[in-house]
Amino acid sequence: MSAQAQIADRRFQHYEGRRLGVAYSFWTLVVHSILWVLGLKRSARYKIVPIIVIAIAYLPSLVLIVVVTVAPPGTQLPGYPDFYQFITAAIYIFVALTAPELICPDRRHGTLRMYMTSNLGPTTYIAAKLVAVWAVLAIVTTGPVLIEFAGYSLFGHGPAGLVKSLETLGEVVGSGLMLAVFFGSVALAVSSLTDRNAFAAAGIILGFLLTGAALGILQGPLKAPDWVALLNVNQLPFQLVFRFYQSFSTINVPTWQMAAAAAAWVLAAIGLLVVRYRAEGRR
Amino acid sequence: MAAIASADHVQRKYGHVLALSDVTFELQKGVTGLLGANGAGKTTLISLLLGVLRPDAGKLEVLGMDPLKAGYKLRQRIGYAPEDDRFPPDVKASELVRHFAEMRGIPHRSAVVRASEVLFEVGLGEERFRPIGTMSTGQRQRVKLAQALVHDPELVLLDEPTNGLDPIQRDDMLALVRRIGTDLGFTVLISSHLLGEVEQVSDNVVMLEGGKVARSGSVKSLLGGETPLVVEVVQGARRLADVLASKGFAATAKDDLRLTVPASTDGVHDAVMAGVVELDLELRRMEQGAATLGDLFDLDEAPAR
Repeated sequence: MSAQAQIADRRFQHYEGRRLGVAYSFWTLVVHSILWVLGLKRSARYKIVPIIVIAIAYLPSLVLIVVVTVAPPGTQLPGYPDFYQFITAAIYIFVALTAPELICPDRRHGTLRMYMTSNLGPTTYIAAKLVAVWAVLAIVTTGPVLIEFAGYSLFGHGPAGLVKSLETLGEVVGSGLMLAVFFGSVALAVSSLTDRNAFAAAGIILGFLLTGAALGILQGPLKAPDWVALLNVNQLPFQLVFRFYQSFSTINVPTWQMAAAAAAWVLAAIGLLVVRYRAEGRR
Repeated sequence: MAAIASADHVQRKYGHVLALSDVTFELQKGVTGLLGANGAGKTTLISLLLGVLRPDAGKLEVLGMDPLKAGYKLRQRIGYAPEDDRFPPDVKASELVRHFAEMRGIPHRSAVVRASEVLFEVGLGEERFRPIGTMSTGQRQRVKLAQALVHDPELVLLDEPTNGLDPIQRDDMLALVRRIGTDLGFTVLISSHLLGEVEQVSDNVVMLEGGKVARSGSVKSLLGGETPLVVEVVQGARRLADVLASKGFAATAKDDLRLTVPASTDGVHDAVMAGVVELDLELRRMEQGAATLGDLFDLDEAPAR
């Protein structure tokens, strides 16, 4: 027998090592959820749709970079808040794809009850899922505009000076994260109402579109007051982005009211999630 | 011996429905069967022990802690396998078990090693890299058991682990549960609505009936050392029990085919024979010493194979 030969004891042994706390399990679930929803460490068919949607979201910014390289100085290029009109559809599809996939399977497959009896409770579980959905959505709400910013800066169409560049960078990242937090929270709350991905996705898309359409009618022909626009989950976050950049927005209410309304939507969504999952945990 | 868990006059309601009422028992080391019909309150009691439900009244203690106040510090010392076994179909068994080890505080590297070890232990060594969706019900139940053991808990709560299994798989699973309670030294609480199952694996039994503890204690003490005379007839066991009762023997007919009577009573064998002749019954079996909990208590037995 070789001197290097070893007998491997693969029998079950009692564990005497470290046991880590809530923070470790929280971040484990955040990372696991991000990988899960992007189809990483899963079979190929789970990767295809996220890759396609991310590609759709990034395509306009890549095209814009090509345009920037050939555009003569002084050419009118889309501003950072204007850029979102090119990727709004991709953002909605990505939201409808990711939010349900983050929480519906746990309820459908019964793994939620196992999470509720782990280091995490209902609140920490839902907090991990919120962080995961925000991080994943930031890929499409922040990344493409960052590429636009980098392209403009590299080819002489960006902000002048370091201070102005950093300021613009802050606006780009802040706007992207705000959109991710807003859409992620609302979509996760909608998803918590069902354990079927398809129903949740339909609810998210229809919810955004119908709210926009209904409030459009209210404000148009029915001449509803301006504050009604604050109920428009479809338009409110994008209009708030315009205010971030101090650009023109179509909602005629003060910025603080828009910010407060967006925060209220997010808090209401989180509140619904906490209530739902506290109840789920007790089942 | 200090109890692993105890309940003291615990009550739990869902709205106006009383799920558990005045439940008092002590859970000792070894394997304990939590027996009761569907709706008897087994899952509610397990949820209370895990601290995910709050009792409306009474006091619970698990591993020396209050389940509601201890939070994750208690939960990471408990292994729990829910009744449900619909795991994500595309996830490999090893990944699921590793993930839930991490969710209970085991560092990543140790979690990977332990997931492999525990899957070997439950008989899924070769299948551990297979997606759960390709596994049989029996294998999925083993995966569920593995994730409950992977973090080396001090108390393992198994909620109906034989659900959906065929008789052979059920026996295998029960043997496995028995082994983790004896060879591996885990304290196990296994819930079931089948008396035969509980009796097969348990040292102790807690019987729930309509949300109340009907009986609890060791299987031996519940049998009371008594080895009753079991009498089986083709038909007429109830009439025979009446005849025996009229002669002063405490006979109990479980149904019209079978009765038990304390064997220590003088003249019991002669009395049974006389009764059989008197009623013109067809005697199939008369045996002493094969007492089961089912013989002693009016409980549903496991369905016949």
